[in-house]
Amino acid sequence: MTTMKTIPMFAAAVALPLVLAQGCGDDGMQSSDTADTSDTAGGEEECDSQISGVIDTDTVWTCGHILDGVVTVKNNARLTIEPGVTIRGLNGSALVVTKGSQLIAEGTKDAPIVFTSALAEGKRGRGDWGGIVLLGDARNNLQTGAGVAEGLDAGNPDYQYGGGDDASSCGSLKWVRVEFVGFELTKDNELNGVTFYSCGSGTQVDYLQVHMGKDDGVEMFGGTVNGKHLVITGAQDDSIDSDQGYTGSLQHVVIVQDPAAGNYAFELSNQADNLDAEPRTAPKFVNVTAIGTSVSEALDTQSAGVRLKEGVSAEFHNAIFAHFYGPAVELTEGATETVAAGGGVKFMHSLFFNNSTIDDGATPWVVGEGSTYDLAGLIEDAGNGNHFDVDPQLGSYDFAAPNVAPTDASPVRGAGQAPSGFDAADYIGAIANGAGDWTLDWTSYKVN
Amino acid sequence: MFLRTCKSPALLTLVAAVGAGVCARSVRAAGPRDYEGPTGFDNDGTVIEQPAAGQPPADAEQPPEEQPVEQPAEAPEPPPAEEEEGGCAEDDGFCVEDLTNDAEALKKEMAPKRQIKVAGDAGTIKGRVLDASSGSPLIGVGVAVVGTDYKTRTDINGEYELSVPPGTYQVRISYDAYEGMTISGVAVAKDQAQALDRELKPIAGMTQTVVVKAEINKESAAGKLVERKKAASARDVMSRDDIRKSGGGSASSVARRIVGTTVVGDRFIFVRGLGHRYGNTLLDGARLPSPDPNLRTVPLDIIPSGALSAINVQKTATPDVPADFAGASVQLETRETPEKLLFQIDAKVGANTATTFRQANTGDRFAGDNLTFGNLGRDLPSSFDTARPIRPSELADVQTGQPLYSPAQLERFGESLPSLHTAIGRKTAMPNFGAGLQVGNTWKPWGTRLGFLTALQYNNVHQTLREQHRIYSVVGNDEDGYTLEPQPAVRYEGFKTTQNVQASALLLVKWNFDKHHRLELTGVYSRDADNEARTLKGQARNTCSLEIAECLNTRLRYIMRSVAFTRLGGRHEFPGAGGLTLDWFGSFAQARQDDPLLRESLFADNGVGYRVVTNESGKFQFFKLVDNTGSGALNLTLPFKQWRGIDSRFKVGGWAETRRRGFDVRTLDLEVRNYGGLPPGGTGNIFNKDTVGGDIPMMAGGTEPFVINEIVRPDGQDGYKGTQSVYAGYAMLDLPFTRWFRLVGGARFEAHDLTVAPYSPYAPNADPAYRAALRDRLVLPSGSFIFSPRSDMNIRLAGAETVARPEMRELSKFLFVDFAGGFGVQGNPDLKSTRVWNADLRWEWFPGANEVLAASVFYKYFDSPIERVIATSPRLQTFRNAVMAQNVGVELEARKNLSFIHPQARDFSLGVNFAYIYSRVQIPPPTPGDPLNALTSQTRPLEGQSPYVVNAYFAYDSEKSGTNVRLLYNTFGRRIVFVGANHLPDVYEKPIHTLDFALSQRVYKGLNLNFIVNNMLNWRQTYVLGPEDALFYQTRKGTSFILGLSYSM
Repeated sequence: MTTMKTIPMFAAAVALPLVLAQGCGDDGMQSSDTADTSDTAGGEEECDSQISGVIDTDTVWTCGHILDGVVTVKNNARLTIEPGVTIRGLNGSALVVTKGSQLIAEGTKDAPIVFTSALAEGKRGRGDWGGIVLLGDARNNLQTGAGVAEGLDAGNPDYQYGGGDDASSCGSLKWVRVEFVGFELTKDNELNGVTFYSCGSGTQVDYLQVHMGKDDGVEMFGGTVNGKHLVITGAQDDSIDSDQGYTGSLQHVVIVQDPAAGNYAFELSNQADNLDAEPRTAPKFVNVTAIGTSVSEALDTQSAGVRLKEGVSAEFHNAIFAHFYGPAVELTEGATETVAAGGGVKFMHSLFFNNSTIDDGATPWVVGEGSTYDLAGLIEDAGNGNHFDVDPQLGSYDFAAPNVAPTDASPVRGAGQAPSGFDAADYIGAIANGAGDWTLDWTSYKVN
Repeated sequence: MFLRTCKSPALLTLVAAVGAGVCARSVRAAGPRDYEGPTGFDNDGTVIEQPAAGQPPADAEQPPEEQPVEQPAEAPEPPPAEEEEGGCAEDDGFCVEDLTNDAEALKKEMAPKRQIKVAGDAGTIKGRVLDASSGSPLIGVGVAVVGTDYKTRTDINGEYELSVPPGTYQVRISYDAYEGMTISGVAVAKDQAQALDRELKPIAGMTQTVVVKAEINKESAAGKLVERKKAASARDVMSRDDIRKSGGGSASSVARRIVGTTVVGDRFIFVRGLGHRYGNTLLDGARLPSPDPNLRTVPLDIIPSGALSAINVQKTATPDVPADFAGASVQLETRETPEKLLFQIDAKVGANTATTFRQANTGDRFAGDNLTFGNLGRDLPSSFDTARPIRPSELADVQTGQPLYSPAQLERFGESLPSLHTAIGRKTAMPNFGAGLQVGNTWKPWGTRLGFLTALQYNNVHQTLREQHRIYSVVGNDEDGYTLEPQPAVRYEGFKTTQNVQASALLLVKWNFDKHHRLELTGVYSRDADNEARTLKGQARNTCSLEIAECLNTRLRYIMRSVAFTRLGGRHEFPGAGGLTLDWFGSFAQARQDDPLLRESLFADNGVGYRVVTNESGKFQFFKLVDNTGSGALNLTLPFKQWRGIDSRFKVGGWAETRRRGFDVRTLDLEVRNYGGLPPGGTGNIFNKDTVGGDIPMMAGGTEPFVINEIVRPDGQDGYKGTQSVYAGYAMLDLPFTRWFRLVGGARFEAHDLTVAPYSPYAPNADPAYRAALRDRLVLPSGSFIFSPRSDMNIRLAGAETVARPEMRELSKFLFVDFAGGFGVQGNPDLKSTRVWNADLRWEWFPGANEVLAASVFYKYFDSPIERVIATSPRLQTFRNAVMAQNVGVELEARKNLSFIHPQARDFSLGVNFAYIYSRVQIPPPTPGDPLNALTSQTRPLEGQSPYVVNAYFAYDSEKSGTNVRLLYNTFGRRIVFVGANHLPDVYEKPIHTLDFALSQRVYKGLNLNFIVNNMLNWRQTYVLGPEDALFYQTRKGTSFILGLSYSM
C-alpha cells in the first residue's frame, strides 16, 4: 500500500528539522552568577593597575593607571589626578564622573595630565577608548531638566544629568590632553573626547587638548561651564558641539581638522525636540582659529565651519574660519532664523578664507532648504568688522605639526576686538603671535 | 446488540453537534459488528459499545398529553427513504462518518433545508426537539416521515420544519445516544403547520458505557457556534470551514471576522484593540513561543492552516487557561486525523501591485535563500575568535601596549566577513508562489485506531514598500503652546523589498487505544525568513552630515525565525470512577531567531557624488536568539449531577512551564583607522578585499582604509539571558443551578519567576551590570454566570483577574537602533507585571444555524500597564509602567443568513461586528529631574489602543455549484503607536480600510480553484502626529492577487 511507504518519509521530513533544531540549540549560554572581582580605586595605590567599576570615595592618582570598562566616579567622590600622570584607556573604557562628583585633573605646562590609548605609540587610533564624561548639576533646557548621558545605561540614575545649580562644578581640567577617544556606543553615537553634561560655571577648564576623537572633540549639553585655551585636533565629527541650553563661553580655541576627516568645527543646537526650549543654547566663542580640511587640496569631506540649528543663539568674536570644504556657516530651521533676526546670532571681527572649496567658494553661507533667510546679509554686514577672502597667513597648517600662530605679516593682528568680560585681545584668532603661542609644549599632534 | 455512539449524558448539551457533524446514528443493529469500515468511532475516535445487549428499549417516555400513539424507535419499522449521500444510512445500524474533510457533506448534514420538495399542496410539520434532562436544544436530530422521502434535521436551536403533502403520517425522531420515538397519527392539513415538539431522553445506563467524546464536531462552523454557545467563557471561534471558505488562505485574514479583532501585519490577532502584550497563544493547550523576541503573540501562519481545526479566541479568562492575557488567549486546535486516506495538494501563484514585475531592492544572494536557510551562509565563519572581540586595539600585553592581532590577522578577519558586499542592487520582482501538501490516514491495528496527518507548506513572497519617514521637532513655549517645526529633523524616503520565504512541516499522530484512552503526538517545525534590502534617501539633521548633502542609508538584513514544537498528550477516561476524565500533555518548544550579517551603511552626497560616511557605515551585526520552553499540564474533570440531577462538572489541574532564553549580538565594524586618505567614493561595493586591510597606516605604506573593529557596548547592552517559570494550579466548577442558570467559576494560582541578566560571550561569568527579577504569586479568581432565558440565548456575566507580564526583551538593556538617526529601543529591568481586572457582560442569541446576534460591554482595569515611552535625551524609546489604565468597551455582532429576505437568498449571509473601546491611561506628570517622565499628553488612550474596530463580511455559499465567496472588510480607529515626550506630540496610526475578496470554486470532484484579492482598497498605512497630522511614517502595501488550485482525494 503506497501510503504506508509514504508515512516514514513524511515523518522523517518533519522529524529531521526537529532534530537539527534541537541539535544545534543552546549556544553555550552558560549562566553564572559569580562576579569577577575587580579593583576599584581605594586603599593603597598600585601604579599602572587596571581600574574598573565604581569609585565612590575621594581618590588621588599619583601615578599612571589603566581604565578598563566604564569607570564611574559617584557618591560625591572627588577623583584627583596629579600632574604628569598618564591614564591609559583600554578599548571600551571611559571615565564617567556623575552628578555631585568631581574630576580634578590639574597638570602643568611641563607636566600635563594625559588620557590616552592603552596601545603603544604608533599603534594608536581614534576610538581606542571612550573619553571623559562629566555629569553636572546646572540647568539645561530639557523638559524635566534632566537627561541621560548618551550611550550609557539610560535606566541608571547615576548617568542622569541636569539640575538647577548653574554655579556648580564638575571639577577642573587644566593642562590636560585627551587622545584617541570616541569608541562607538550605539549606532551614530560615539563618546566625545570630553563631554560636559550640564556642568556649572564652577567647573574649571584651561589648557585642554582633545586629539584624534572618533566623534566630537568637546561637547556641552546644557550648563554654564566656561573655558579657555582649548585645542581640538583631528576630530572625526564636530570639534565643538553644544546643545540643550549651554550658555557658557570659550576663549582661545584652536581647531585643526584632519585633512581626510572632520565635520563641523562648531555644531550648535538649541534642542533637537523643542527648538524654542529655554534656557536657549547661547554660547560665546571668542578668539577662535578653525582650520578645515581643504588646506592643500579640496578633498571630498564633510567638513564645514559653523552649523547653527534648532533655534540656537551664538556669538563669535575674533574667529578665523579657513579652508573648509563645505560652507563656512550654515543656519537652518525657522526657529534659528527667528533668533538670528532678533540679533541672537553674531559674527564679529572674524575672518573667512578659502571656504566652500567644494564649489570654489560659491556657497559659503547656507540656509535650510526652501528658506530665503539672508544669512549673507547677517554676516557680511559692514558693521560687524568681518573680513572675507583674506588669507590669515598663519604659520603652518600641517596636520601633524600645526602652527596656527599668525605670522608677522598676518592681517589678523590688531584686527580683533574682544567683548567685555573676556581677556583683552586685539587680534583675530586663538593666538596673538608666535611669542604668545600658548599651544606649545603641552600639546601633542601624533596621529598614531 | 452493539450500540455505537458518541455521546455521554455528562455532556448532554453538546451532543447535538455530534449528530450535526459526525452523523453517528444510534439505531438498532442487526448483530455484532466489527470495527471495519467507516464506523465504530465517533469523531474523536472512541469506540462506543453498549454491553447491555438487548436492553429493553421501552423506557422511552411517553408524554401523557400525546395524542398519537408513540412507539420506541427501536421497534422494527420500514427503513426510511434512501440515504442521499450513501455515507450514513439512517436506519441500517450504527455508523459514524467523519465529514470534516467534506464541506459539502457537512453542509448537507447541517442544513435542514435539504428536503425533498413537495409538488402541489403542502402542509408542514414543525417543532423543536430538546434534551429531556437539560432542556437544551438538540441539533441535527433526524426527523423523518416513515415510509416517505420526507425528512429533515433540527437546526442549531433544535428546531425543524418539514413540508409534506397533506395527510396523516407516522413521524420518527431519532438521535444517537437518545431514545428515539415514533409518533403515529400526525395529521397535516393543507397550508397548515402541525406542531410537534418533543423531548428526547438519553438512553438510560449509557453513563457507564458511552464516553464523553467529541463534544461537538469541532470543525464545522455550526459546531463552533455550539461550542461558543456552551463555552463557559466569552469566546469567539473560527472553524476550519471558515478557514477553508476564505480561499484556504491565511488564517489571519479569516480571523478578522472575530468580534473586535484586528489583524496586524497580516499575521497577528489583536483583540479589542489590545496589542501583543495582552495576548497569549496556545497550541492544543500548550504554550507556543513566538519566534519574534519582541512579541508575545505568535504569527498565525507558522502553522499550516490545513492542519488546524479551529482558532479559538478566548476573551474572558477561565481558571484552566494560563492567565497571562487580557485581550485574548488565541488557542489553536489541531484537526482530527482523517478517517480515510487523505491526499491533498495545492499550489498558488500571486502578484502584488506594489511589487511584482516592478523594480525591487536586492542584496547579494546566499545559498539557501529560497529555502529559509540563507542564515547559514551569512553566519560568522568558524575561524572567528569567540573568546574575545576582534579589534585592532585588543591588547596582548597591557603594560607594553602591544596589540593582540597582527595586521595580517586583522586583514584576514576583515576580509573573511561572510560578505563584504554592502551594495544594494535592483532587480525585477518575480511573482509570488506557494504550495502545500497534506497526507493523512487512519489504521486500525489491534482494534485501536491510529491516525496521522502530515502537512507541508511553502511560500515565497516578495513585498516592496515605498516608505517615508519623518521625525519632527516642535517650537513654542508653555504660554503660547507648541507647534511643529515645519522642517522635519529626519526626512527619509525609501524602498524596502522583503522576500519572505516560509516553510513549515507538521505531523499529527492521534492514537485511540480504546474508547477510554487516547494519545496524541504533535510535531511542528516552521521556518520563516525575511530577506530585506532597504534604501532610505534624504536628510537626518543630526546624522547626515552637511545641510547641503543628500544621504543614502542602506541596510541588508536576513532574519530567520524558527519554531520547533513537540507535544505529547493524552486523554483518559475512567468510567468506573464516575466518568472522571484525565487529560495531560508535555511539550517542548524551541524558538530561534537568527539575524546574521545585518549590514548598514550611510553615504552622503555633497553634490559631487556619494561617499561613505565612515562612522555610520560598514557595520555587520550578528544577532542570535534561542528560546527553549517546556510546558506540561494535567487536568482532571469529574462530571457529577447536582441536586436537581443536572449535569455538572468539577475540574482541577496543574500547569508547569519553564523557559530559558539566550540572546546576543556581535557588532563588527569596518572602520577607517590610521588612514589619512579619503575612503572610496560611490555606493557600490566599497567594502572589498582592496579596501579592507590590517590597520597599516598610510604613512607606513598602507593602502587599505578599512580595518575590522568589533564594537562591544557597556552595561550589558549587547545581549541577555533570561529564565522564566510558571507553576500554576486551578480548580473550577461548572455548576448549573437550574436549566437556565449556570455558574462557572474558580481560581487559578500562578507562581511566576522571571529573571533577566546581561550576557556577553566574552565575559560569561562577569558580574551582571543589572539584574531584573520579577516574582509574583497570584491567586487569580475568575467566574461567570450564564443565564439562558431561552435555549438559544445566553446572558453571561464574567469577571476575572489576569496578568500581563513584560517580555524578557523589555527587561533587558539590549539596545537596538532601527536606522542611524532614528530611535533606539532599550528595555527597562525595573518593569513590573501588570495586573488586570476584567469584567464582561454579554448577551447572545443564536437564532438559527450559523447565525448569531450578540452584544457585550466590558471593562478592564490595568494596574501599572507597560507602555513604550520616549526618553527626552538621548533619543531613545524604553518601557515604563504607567500608573493605571481603564478600558470600557461595547461589542456588537450579527451574523445572519439572508434567507429571511427571500428563500432564494439562503446561500447568502452577512456578518458585521463592531467594538468601541474608550481607553484612558494615567501617567505621572512630567517630573523635574526625571528624564523618563516627560510625556507630553497626560490624557490619552493606552498605547496601541484603537477606539473602535469594525469587521464585516458578506458570504455566498452554494453547495450546488461548489462556490464559496467572501468579501471581508476591516477597519480600526486611530491608535497611538509612539507616546510623545518632551513636548513632542503622540504619534498615531491612522485608520486603514481593508477589503479582501476570496473565491473558492469547485471545478471538478476534489479539484478546487481559489482566487483571492487582498487589500483591494490599497489604503495607505500612515503614522501622523500633531494637530495637523504631520507625516511620521507612510507606506502602501499594494493589492495582492492570489490564484490557487487544490486537489484532494
